[in-house]
Parts: sequence; C-alpha cells; structure tokens
Amino acid sequence: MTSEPHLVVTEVSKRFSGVQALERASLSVRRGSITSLIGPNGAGKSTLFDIITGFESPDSGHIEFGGRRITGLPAYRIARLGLIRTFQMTKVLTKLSVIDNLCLAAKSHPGERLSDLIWRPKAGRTTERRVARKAEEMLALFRLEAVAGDYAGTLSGGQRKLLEFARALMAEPELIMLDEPLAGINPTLRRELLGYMQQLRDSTGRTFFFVEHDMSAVMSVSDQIWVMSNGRVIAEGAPMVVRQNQAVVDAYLGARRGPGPTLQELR
Amino acid sequence: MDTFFNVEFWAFVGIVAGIYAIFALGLQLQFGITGLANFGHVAFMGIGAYTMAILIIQGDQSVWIAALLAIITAIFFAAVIGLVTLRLRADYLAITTIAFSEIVRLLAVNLRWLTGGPEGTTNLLGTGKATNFSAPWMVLLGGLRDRLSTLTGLEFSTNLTMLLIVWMVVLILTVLLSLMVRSPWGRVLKAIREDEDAARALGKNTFWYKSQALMIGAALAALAGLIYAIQFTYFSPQDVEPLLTFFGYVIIIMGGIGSIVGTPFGAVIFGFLFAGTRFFDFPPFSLLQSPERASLRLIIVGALIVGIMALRPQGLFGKKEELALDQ
Repeated sequence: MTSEPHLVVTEVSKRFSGVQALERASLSVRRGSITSLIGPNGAGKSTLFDIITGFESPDSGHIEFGGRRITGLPAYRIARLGLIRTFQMTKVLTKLSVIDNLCLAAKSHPGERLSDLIWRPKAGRTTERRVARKAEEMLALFRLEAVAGDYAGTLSGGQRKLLEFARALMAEPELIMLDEPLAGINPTLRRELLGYMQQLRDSTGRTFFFVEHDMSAVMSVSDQIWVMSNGRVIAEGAPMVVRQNQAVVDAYLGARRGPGPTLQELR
Repeated sequence: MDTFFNVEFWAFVGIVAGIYAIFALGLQLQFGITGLANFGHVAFMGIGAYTMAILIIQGDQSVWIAALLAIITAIFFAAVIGLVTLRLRADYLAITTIAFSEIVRLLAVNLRWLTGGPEGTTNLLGTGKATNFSAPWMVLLGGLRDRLSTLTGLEFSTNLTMLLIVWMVVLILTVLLSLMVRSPWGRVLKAIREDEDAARALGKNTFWYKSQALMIGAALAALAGLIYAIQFTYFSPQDVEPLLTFFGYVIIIMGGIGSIVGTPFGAVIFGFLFAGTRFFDFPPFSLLQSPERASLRLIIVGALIVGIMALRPQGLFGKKEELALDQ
C-alpha cells in the first residue's frame, strides 16, 4: 500500500427534495488499500457511491480518480476508467445465464461492437473464448460453478451478491467499490471472500472501497475506515482508532432504533 | 368457398405474412431483446414507403436507389427520436414514439404536395393524374417469374414469385438477426433489457446500444413498408394507423418475446388468422352481411389469439422459465 490517493472526494453535497443526503463530504482512498465506509442506515453511504460512480450528480464538490477529475462523467465512462461498483440492491441480469452475467463484464470486447462483428468476426470469437475461460475460473472461486448455466434470476439473495462481486472483478477494475458485499452470505464464505480481497490487494495492488455493516469483517480487513452520519463524514482512521472514537459510538447509539452494530460490537 | 382453395389467394396471404414478419423482426429486436417500448413502429414503415414512392415518382429515381434512400431516411428519423428520448425513462419512449407515429400519419394526410394527401400515393402528382411507382418493379418481377418458370418447368405466377422473394428476405434477416443477438453485442442488448444500470456500471454505453437497436428496427420497418407499398402498388395514410404497430406486438408475443426465430412463425399465424379469415364465405359466415362478417372476423381472430396465449403463455418459441422469472 502506498500513500498515494486513488480516489479523492472533495466537499460533495447532495440534496434530494428537502433531504440533505450529503453535506460537504470529503474522503480519500489510498491506492492498494482496503478501505471501508461505515455509518448508520441513512448516513448517505450509498448516495456517495452513486455520486462517485456517476449514477447521480453532486450539487457541489468534485471527485478525482487516479488523479483525474471524474465529476460529471457518464457512469459508463467512469467504469471504463477502471472504477467498478456493485449495488446494495443486487442488479443481476435475471434472464441471462450466470456465466453470461460474468462474460458481460469483460472490458473492450470486440464482439460487442457491430462493426467488429462484421469486419473482424474472429477477434470477437477469440476474445469470447478467453472471457468464458476467465468467467469459469471466477465461478469456481465464488462457488458458483454448479449454477453456471442457470438463469441468474433463480439465484438466492446471497448467491446474487456473490455473482455481483465476481462480475465486478471480471471487469478487471483498478478500484472496486462494493456496497454491502457480505449481506446474505454465509460466515465461511464471508471469511473466504475477505481473505481473497486481501490476497488480491497484495498480489495485484487493487484498491477496495466498501460499505459493510458486518463490523467484525470491517475491523479485521480494513486498512482505513471512514465513518459517515447524517450526510457528513465524522471520523476516519485505522480500525483501532475508529473503534475508540466517541463521535462514532454516539452516531451509532443515536441510530439505535435501526439495525446497526451494538456498542459491544464496536468496542 | 372458392377462395379457400385458391393458390393465388394464399400466396397473397403469405406475402402479407412475410411483410408482417420483417416488420415484427424490427420490433422484436427493439422490444423483445433490448426492452425498448416502441409504440410508433408503424411510423418508420410509413416513412420507408412514402420516401420510396416520392423519390420514384417526383424524384424520378430507380427503385433500388429509392428503396435504399427510404431505409436511410427511416434510420435517420430513428436516430433523431432516439437522441431525444433514449436518455429518459422507458415510458417516455413509449409516449414519444406513439406521438411521433401520429405526427407522421397526420403529415401524410395534410402535406398533399408531398404525399398525395388522404387518397395516398395515387395522387402524388396531383389529383386526376394517377401514378404508379410499382411499374419498374413489376417488370423486374415478371422477368424473374418467367426465368423461374423455365428453370423449374413449373408455372410460377407473379404472386408466387413475390412470395418466394419476400420469404427469402425473411429467412436471411432471421438468420442474420439470430446471429447478432447471440453475439456479445446481443448480450449487451439483453443486459440493457434486464437492468440498464447494471450494464452502465460495467462500462457499456447503453445509450449508443439502444440507438443501434432503434435504428436497425426502423430500417426493418422501412423495408417492410416499401415491400408493402410495392405489393399493393399504393400507399396511403390508412396504412400508418397505430393499429399496425400493435399487430406487430401481437406477432412478437405469439412468436415468443425475445425469440428472433419465433417472430416469422408468429407472423404466419397472425397473417393467416387475419387475412385468411377475410374470405370465410361459407356457412355460417355466408349468412351474415359483409360488415357483420368483418366484425365477426376480428372477434374470431381475437379469440384464437387468446386461445393460443392461454395454451402457450410464453408464445411459440418463448421460454417458459423466463416467464416465471418476471414474477
């Protein structure tokens, strides 16, 4: 992990008809780190994800990815720069097979261009074979090989989370943003996925930035944690530091009515 | 009863079914594969037919040049419609396209100097100067018919020759579109149908893919339109009624939503139900007055379609598992 920032969010604000979803939120993610974003439900984490990835535009503030300003770029352009995200409410393509869901993520696939289909049909076929092989490896890694040919719509909630995670990795992102990747996944597989994240970070220098409510997971793998509450970033630091931050504890206590970690879990 | 055994009549029905098939293939690509609710498909058929007729009669162009320019014109309008609607939510596309198709129809009625007005292309050079843009094509077709007859030793009629040509076109288009839809390109279109945001998040320029689907579909509608105009030697604003778009939907639903191969089959069933019931002049139909018979015919067609859908809700070639995933 270097100290070079991979993603920098500067003073981003967003208002949705009367609700201040984000208020001058600033944070940064170091290249090659596993960084997590936590906070009570409604803190603005998913909105921030949407704004970073171009699915929403900020009222003010800007975002830099890899030293390049990406504020206002369309979502697909941001994805092509190597910033791939998943969604809190999974978006698997129900009437496509599981393997097709993965193959879709391949980047710069000549078979996806009509002109190349006509003039260089071979290039498309070669790429497709390579992509399919990689998809199969990914399926094995995520324990989905048994359902490779099934419609993605037949998968369980947890399997859909896995598929989305795998699909995001298929796109060979530099930075991958995961919105609650562990929700609905069994504890054994959770540990494996977290281990895999660490392994990928160490071997490829990939950056992970994720939102997660599983505090033990967050505390065990994160290099750095950002905490949000009511649209603001209220704390930042290594797991040890954040755990002892009074503002963080208060934010979670203030939101006790909603689901979230207990005081014990935080400590 | 005579018409029932008349080869010429069934050849004619077959031609119309083939034209419906080409028309519906465009809609299948747009709606069945990409999920674009185009409710103004007939407009592109009208643009194709009118552009060709006008270019032949007023512009003195050959059939081929006119046909090519007609398709290009339809593609151009599809691109423009796409530009203004495809960034909006899906339902806006539906509203905009149906409005567009009505605008095209009303322009065809009112721009007399250009379209010949409500009487259609016969008045393209003004009333009283009946025109016919099909003449050069008919000469070509006649030559082809004679050559086919000598080649096979069978007696080919003009209609049978046309039937052969139209269904050759349908076959080629069906194979071509099937290959396209099965390619990674087609996979992106299906992904857009399932969840456009997911496709965007993976770096797909969904706007451009949707535009392509719209333009290719429009080209197919225009092709259907100009074959239709040639076959009937005449085209009028009545042929641009919104009802025709919905015939297209009936066809793709019967063939199976999302199935390119099913589309021509849906067209044949629809074409034969619709045109085939036209000359039911045997009892009990012969006991009725002709307007009553016409209404009864629509009722029968409707009932048969309901029956088919009750037996096979996924359509002929649709996949039942996919239907279950919608719930």
